[in-house]
Amino acid sequence: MSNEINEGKDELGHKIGEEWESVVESESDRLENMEEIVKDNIDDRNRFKPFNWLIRIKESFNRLLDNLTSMQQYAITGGAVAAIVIGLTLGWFISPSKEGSQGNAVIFKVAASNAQEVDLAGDFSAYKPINMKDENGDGVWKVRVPLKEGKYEYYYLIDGKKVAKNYPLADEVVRDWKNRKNGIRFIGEENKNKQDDSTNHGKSA
Amino acid sequence: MRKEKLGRSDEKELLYKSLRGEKEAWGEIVKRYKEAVYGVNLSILKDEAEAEDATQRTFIKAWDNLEKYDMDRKFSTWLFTVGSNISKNIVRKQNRWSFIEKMSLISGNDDPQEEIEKEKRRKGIRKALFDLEPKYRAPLIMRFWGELSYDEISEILDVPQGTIKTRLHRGKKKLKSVYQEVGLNE
Repeated sequence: MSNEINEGKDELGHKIGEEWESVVESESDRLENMEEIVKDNIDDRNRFKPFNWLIRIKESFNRLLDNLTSMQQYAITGGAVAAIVIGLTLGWFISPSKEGSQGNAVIFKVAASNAQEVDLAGDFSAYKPINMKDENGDGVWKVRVPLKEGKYEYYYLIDGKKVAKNYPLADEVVRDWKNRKNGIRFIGEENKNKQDDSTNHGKSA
Repeated sequence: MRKEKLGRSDEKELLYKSLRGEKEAWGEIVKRYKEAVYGVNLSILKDEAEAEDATQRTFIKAWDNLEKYDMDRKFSTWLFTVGSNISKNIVRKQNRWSFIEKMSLISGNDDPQEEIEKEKRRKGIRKALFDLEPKYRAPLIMRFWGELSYDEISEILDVPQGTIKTRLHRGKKKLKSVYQEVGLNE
């Protein structure tokens, strides 16, 4: 591969390489602490990954069934199914209103170290500001918003002003009518998968 | 690109740990690859803040989809592909916006003053590189800064190898002419 790379790497090629190295170096401040920001974000995402608990229950259930006779397996499976049916039926009647469903608690966060007040606004709040909190005093403001499955557009207000911000947790970034950035979040597996087709690259058939 | 950071022998171990959900291991991957991913994203996007945003999203998306990565393939190629798809999506959306911008008085940037300052700082070959169209700039950067093979560039940009060779050839020609035209030979 190195021969192929050197092929065509004349003086101009060297200049391009050196210049781009210095472009990236001159922007190193932007990349400082990126690993911490990424770790922080993936941590929160994992905690709210839907259905993780269901997979764990299924695994434990399978392990339990492996150690039992077929009669015991039928008894346990039947019992579990009956419990689920009864639970769902009771839940259906006890639930005060289907409209009151809270959805997933989705975290929104933004870094604003010198801010006095930070708010989140989005189509889920009819663009009314939702107050965010910097509980640790580390300049990262957070709020959890219960959201049902769907696509949501949002932005941050820092000290009352909508500012140009990055949206590391966003699945997409779009522009508003004034060409300022807004984040887009897709909530729910079905909606999220629409975004993930670009990452299948490199997988063997 | 500082290649000594990339593709170290313990990389697979870090990736396996990441697959098990160990975020410290993923943090180490981010540390090693952040400059490389940023450089590739910037070559497509041209804008430093957009490239920073795209780089963060690249690592978050790659973590979310790590189980789709085939461990027998080169990790950097897969990671750059995730990044370049994110960047290309941003460019596609910007192009949609550029029509509206032309039709109105809306400024194209969040901070026009900052854009003017940024333009002033770009001189010589750097200016010529930033003035090139992304379809020429990205392969040139990947080839001569990233030292990637034609095959890898073709995979990352999802463009046939023959087209990559043509774009590299034409890109160098265009770069030379822009460079000479503005009389900024060093």
